[in-house]
Amino acid sequence: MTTVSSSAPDRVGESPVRASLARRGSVFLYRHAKVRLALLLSAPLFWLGLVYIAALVALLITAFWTVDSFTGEIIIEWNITNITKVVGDALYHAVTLRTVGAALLVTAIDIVIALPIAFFMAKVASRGVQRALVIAILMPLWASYLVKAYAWRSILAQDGIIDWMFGPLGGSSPGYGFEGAVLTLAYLWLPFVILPIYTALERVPDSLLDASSDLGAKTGSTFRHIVLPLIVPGIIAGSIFSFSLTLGDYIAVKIVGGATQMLGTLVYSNVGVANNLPLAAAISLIPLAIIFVYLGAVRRTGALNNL
Amino acid sequence: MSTQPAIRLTGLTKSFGSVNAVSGVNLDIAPGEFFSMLGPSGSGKTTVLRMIAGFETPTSGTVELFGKDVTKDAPFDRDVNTVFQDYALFPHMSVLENVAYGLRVRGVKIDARNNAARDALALVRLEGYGDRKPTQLSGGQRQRVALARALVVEPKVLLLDEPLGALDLKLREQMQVELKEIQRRLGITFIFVTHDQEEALTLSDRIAVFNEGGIVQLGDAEDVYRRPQTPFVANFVGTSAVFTADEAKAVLGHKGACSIRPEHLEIVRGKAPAGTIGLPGTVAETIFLGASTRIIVDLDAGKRVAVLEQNDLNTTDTKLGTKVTVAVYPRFLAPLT
Ligand SMILES: Nc1ncnc2c1ncn2[C@@H]1O[C@H](COP(=O)(O)OP(=O)(O)OP(=O)(O)O)[C@@H](O)[C@H]1O
Ligand SMILES: [Mg+2]
Repeated sequence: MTTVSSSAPDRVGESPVRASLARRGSVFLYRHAKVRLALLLSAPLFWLGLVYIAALVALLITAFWTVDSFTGEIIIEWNITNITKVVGDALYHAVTLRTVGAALLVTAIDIVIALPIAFFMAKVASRGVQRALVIAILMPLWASYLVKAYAWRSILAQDGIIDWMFGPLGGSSPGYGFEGAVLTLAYLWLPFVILPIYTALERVPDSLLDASSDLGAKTGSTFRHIVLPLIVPGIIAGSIFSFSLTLGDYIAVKIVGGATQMLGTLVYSNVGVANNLPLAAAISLIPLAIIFVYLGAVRRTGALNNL
Repeated sequence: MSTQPAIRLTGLTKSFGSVNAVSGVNLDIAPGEFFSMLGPSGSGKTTVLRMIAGFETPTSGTVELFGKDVTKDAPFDRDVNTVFQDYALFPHMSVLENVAYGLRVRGVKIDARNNAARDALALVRLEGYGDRKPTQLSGGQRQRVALARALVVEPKVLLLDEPLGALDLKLREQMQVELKEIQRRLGITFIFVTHDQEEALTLSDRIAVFNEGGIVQLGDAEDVYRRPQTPFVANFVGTSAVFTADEAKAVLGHKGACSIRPEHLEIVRGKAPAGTIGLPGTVAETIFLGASTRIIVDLDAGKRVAVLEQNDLNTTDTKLGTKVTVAVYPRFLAPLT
């Protein structure tokens, strides 16, 4: 203790720094931030630009072509008949309204179900239970979409599980139709809504909840004033999933929706049965436009500024 | 009424599974007292505080506030408020909204509560900061917002969990003075958790020293510092040379275990002054501390003690290996139980 011993670890013998090629490359990248960025982004940008944007542009262009009703050949000629038809026709109005209604309903149902589940997972459950619940919520995602949709078909069937469970109480299955489709879609997208809300809740420190109740807020007030504003970004992220996935869905609607027409099924029948690709493209521009409006509205509320 | 303690803890115990975080704490804290809980990490201070605030339910025992048993009450039903160690400011609200929050959830109208919040901000010398977001403040300013937010609802008892832990030394000293001033002005009970013994000594009317989930000594600053009752307190609150009963007998010719502070020992050259016990030894190490020097002496009787020597005008240089005599004033020997 009394002397200042020179007991620093003996590192003199370590191998000298080698100026290998890899090392020089690293140094170059370290010094040139722009090159680094370009290398990092080139692959995703290629994917996004070429594959994704290009496909969208192709869709947009196709919408301005028409089909020869006699031969079924596509006529490559600019005109807006498809667009005016989609915008003006009462059928498309009704289907659009129904689809948006379904998307809003599904989103509302999912948020209402997801909030307590996510809250329980993030703030109440012990570590072990929490992990088990995350797995339980992810599990359905491993099963095929079709399997789940058909499972709901049998749940909703006459004398199916719903009839069996609620029959004694005087209830009955909504059967195949709009309600059945909404229920099935709400089930299908629920994990996508729970997970972002759960993540957002995880990021709210427990001490904020303690502080709120310490200052006199009852549980409801704490939820309204503290929890909700802080997890709005998570709720919106979840709602973007459930809303846009519902807008574009056609398989589940075909399987459990009975004769219900949605935008997805219209696109499907125009591509397949009617063989009118340009009209299908024009119809598919509707959900696209709605999503953009939705994102714009979300941005306008400033809800994403607290991220 | 005035004899009723602000807080009474009776047999307070908390276990987390097999961990006994707090075991059998009995404590009365008077109204208007500045009370500190001092103890090493993991000694159960925060857990006691959280049970007083209502965030944890005791495994057994009771918490009384002004004579009312609140053991089972929710935090929002208790007349105590907490200043959290991490401040716990609401990130989506402005400073003013943060401070006004307690009034808002009590249904106070917006003008009234904003005025009260501005007053509270003035109390902690943060006028004009109301429109900022918590992220736009420094650590010390956040600390003050947390304080104002807890004070605005006029609690009878304020709980502070290491409120100054994250601040640098200068700011900490400044905040200590301010805290003490505010406490004196408002006359409310402060329960202050810290593991900084100096902070506890300077601020508190009384101190409870915690170790391993229990109170090992309770008293005012002087009691705790001058008359530590256990070797643990003797060395956690400041440092001491601790003599077991056998060592005391052999080295000092004193009956019973005892401890002594470094500043109560003196290095003398030659004979020890009358009325002191002279212990011959060799200087083993000197640590320069600025205003004073800490001198470690290996006593010939086989014990190592620390002596604190003021660096005043007539200080003599003490070299390593010098033969010296350590003078012990018997009246400063604190008996240990
Ligand atoms: N929620 C909990 N679950 C399990 N054990 C806990 C929990 N909270 C505290 N403990 C344990 O209880 C004991 C006391 O913890 P406490 O936080 O009260 O200590 P402390 O005195 O405040 O320490 P520090 O000075 O580090 O803040 C520790 O051993 C701790 O590990
Ligand atoms: Mg603590």
